Amino acid sequence: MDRLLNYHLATLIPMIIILYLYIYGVIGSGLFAILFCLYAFIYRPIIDYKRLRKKGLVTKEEFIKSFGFIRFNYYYELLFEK
Amino acid sequence: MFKSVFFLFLALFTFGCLDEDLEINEIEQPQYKIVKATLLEKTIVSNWISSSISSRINGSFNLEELQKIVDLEKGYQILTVLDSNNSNQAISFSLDEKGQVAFSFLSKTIKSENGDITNEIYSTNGTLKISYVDRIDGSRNIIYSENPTVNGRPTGWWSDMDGCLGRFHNLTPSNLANIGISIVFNSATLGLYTPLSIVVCVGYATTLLET
Repeated sequence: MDRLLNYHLATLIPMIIILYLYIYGVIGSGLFAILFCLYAFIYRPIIDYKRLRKKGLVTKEEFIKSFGFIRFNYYYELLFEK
Repeated sequence: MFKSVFFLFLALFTFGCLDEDLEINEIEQPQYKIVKATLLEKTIVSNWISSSISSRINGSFNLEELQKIVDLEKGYQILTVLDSNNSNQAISFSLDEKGQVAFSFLSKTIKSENGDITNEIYSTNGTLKISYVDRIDGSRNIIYSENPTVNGRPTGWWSDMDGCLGRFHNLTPSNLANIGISIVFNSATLGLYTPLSIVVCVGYATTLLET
């Protein structure tokens, strides 16, 4: 349960911070897009990969070879499974 | 190979469609002109006030100070005079083609310490019609409206929340690009971009309501 909670906190908090920075005008739309892409295409896949590897579902080679798309096969395991 | 092309397309698609800040190099001409009202206009307004408005309001406006504000771009004109007891308040009139008062309203303007300007518009019998804040960043929030919609859009908390969502889901002027970006962002976050943006906007609108 803690692992699932930690995973959700690790994925949601940076995203919420980026969204709030943008909506309160601290960053413009260009920087928002850059930060969000960094989150979505670098940070998030790394967090997802770590969780999937701990569960023994993917290897580093499989993850890199699929450009991270393999995590879509494990949607339930990532978001809901303890 | 396909994935490399996909990412290249994605990058071009996302950053190519973003709004660019336009630099304004031209010196903008003033859009409004303020001139003294003519004697005829003062007489029309004076007659209308003495027949239509309560003596309490009547006595606090010196019609010798009646000014005419002209919108140079659209040609609209409005007559206005400040309250002699409170310079934050004014009464304004618009004349019809026959030279009669077509409508009138009272306005109250308050500037806060942080530079935001709150405007309240009342009917001449004192009913609050609309209240809004012009923020220092150029945005405008409607706090209260007698009508639930302004220009066909809902007002108040719902309007703030709706506008906030629009900022997350209309990042570019192109609808097609916006749909594409939403699909990509939602996919990359395993479907959490839209639900989380709703949660953030609910918080944002509620915060505005409390300030």
